[in-house]
Amino acid sequence: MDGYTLPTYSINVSATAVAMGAAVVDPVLTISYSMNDVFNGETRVDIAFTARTGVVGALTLKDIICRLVWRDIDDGQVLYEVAGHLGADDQIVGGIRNLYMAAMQNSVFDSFMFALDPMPNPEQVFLSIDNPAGNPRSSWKNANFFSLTQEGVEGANNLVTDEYLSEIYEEFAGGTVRPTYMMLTDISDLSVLNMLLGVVDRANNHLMIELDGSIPPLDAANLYESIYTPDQRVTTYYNGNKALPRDATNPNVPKVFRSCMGVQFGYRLLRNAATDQNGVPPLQIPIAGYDFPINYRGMEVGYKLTEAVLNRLAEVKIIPVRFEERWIFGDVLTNYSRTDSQLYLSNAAEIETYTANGVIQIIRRNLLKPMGNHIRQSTDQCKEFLDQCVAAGLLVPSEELDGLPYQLSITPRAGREFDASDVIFNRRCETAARASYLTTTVER
Amino acid sequence: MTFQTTKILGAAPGVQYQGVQDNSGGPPRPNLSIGVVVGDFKRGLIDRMFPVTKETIRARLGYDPDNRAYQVVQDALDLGVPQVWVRRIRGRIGPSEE
Repeated sequence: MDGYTLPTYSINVSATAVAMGAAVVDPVLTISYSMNDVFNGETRVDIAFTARTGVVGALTLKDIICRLVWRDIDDGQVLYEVAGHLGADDQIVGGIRNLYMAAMQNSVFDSFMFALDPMPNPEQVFLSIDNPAGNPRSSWKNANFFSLTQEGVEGANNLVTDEYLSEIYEEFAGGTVRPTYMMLTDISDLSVLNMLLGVVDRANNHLMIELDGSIPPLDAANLYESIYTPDQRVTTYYNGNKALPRDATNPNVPKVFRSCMGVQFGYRLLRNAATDQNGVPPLQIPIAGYDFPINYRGMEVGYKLTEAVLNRLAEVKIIPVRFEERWIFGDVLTNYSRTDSQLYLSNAAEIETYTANGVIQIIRRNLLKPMGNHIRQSTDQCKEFLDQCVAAGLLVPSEELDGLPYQLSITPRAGREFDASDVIFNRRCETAARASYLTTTVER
Repeated sequence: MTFQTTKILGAAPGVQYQGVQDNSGGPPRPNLSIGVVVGDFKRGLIDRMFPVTKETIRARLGYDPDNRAYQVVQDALDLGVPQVWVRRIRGRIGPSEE
């Protein structure tokens, strides 16, 4: 992998011992591998050997099956598993592949090899180590698994290199699975934040940032102001309230500052899945306020949000979690800097990217076609898509658009009539009410 | 012998058929169901993003309840999201730093 050297592990097996590293004297089998999953040390690898069933005559290496199982040390959950025989690469015996070929089926391995030296007598080595006193075992149920600790990696903290971030950028912006939402809980490394902002620009998706709730709100606001990016596709959250830990079994355990962004993201995905009959999600509904409560157990105020604090958070476009009959996301702000624009409201910002991306997707699908087809099909499909967005309530009439919710024209581009088109798309997004001015009198 | 069915018809009688042209689909739609948590986890693939479900979160990421990035994944799954994608940005040894 670019930008990082993966650690290589070696499991050595002799007639009397199995160990990780070089601790085994005169090993006859060495399994070396590196993994794309870098563990922190709370992991073990179990190894065992059995004989294939139904073998007539003496066992050969292809009849010896080695199984490697990586597990969580605490609860024993299986992380990865590989089983294969020790014969030649190209042999599939009784449906069982060679150990190397079996490992290569799993993309977690960056490299994998095993070496037999000198060529051992299978029964003497692999099966005697498993069961010295008895016959070769043929069932994993009875197999003797040797547990080895796969040590944590020194230097694993240094994964953040320019090359590594470039890989992530390309993956998010140009990969086959492109995220709609990216979430970040740690803004201490600006190179990561900058990379994600680059993805936002190129992929036209959304970045959700959560500030550490254990920091007092004014400090969080000051910190965020120093790195603030005025973009409508970025939203920032802050939960300075305490709650019981999720897995608390006793109501008396100390309450902790808990993240709120998973709830925000979860609600967004649930909303997006609630599409209408045309498949359009109700993006006009912002994830905030009374309808989207945060139901952590035992929630209580951590830092008090006074009027001055709330104003300051709003100034730097931070959405706080606050109590209004229930615990809610207390605003609908994006990071957009102009407060006289619809783009500083999160629902309008989501509608803006959704409709833009929809039009872009349609145009792309109709590229490299005859120009007439390109213009006609792009126009028809975009109008169908946008009419459905209007019907769903995403776009609303605008005086600036002659009372229409959108205007679209796709025409051959002047000067490049043969190979390019001009797409002009104007729309008015639905917005959200976040303030109300009350004037009241009493009358005689 | 029956008349031939072929993709390019010659002089002989037969039917030219080049497969069905599918016009039944509607305009494409942006996919709004993919979210990725970028963070610092105890374990997990470091060469690509990967999906985590309620059943696999502990095995794929390692139990790390004090880590806010882990909490984001956990809370979204608790709310009913079938899977959350994770992109590991750093490896770490030992307990959570957050």
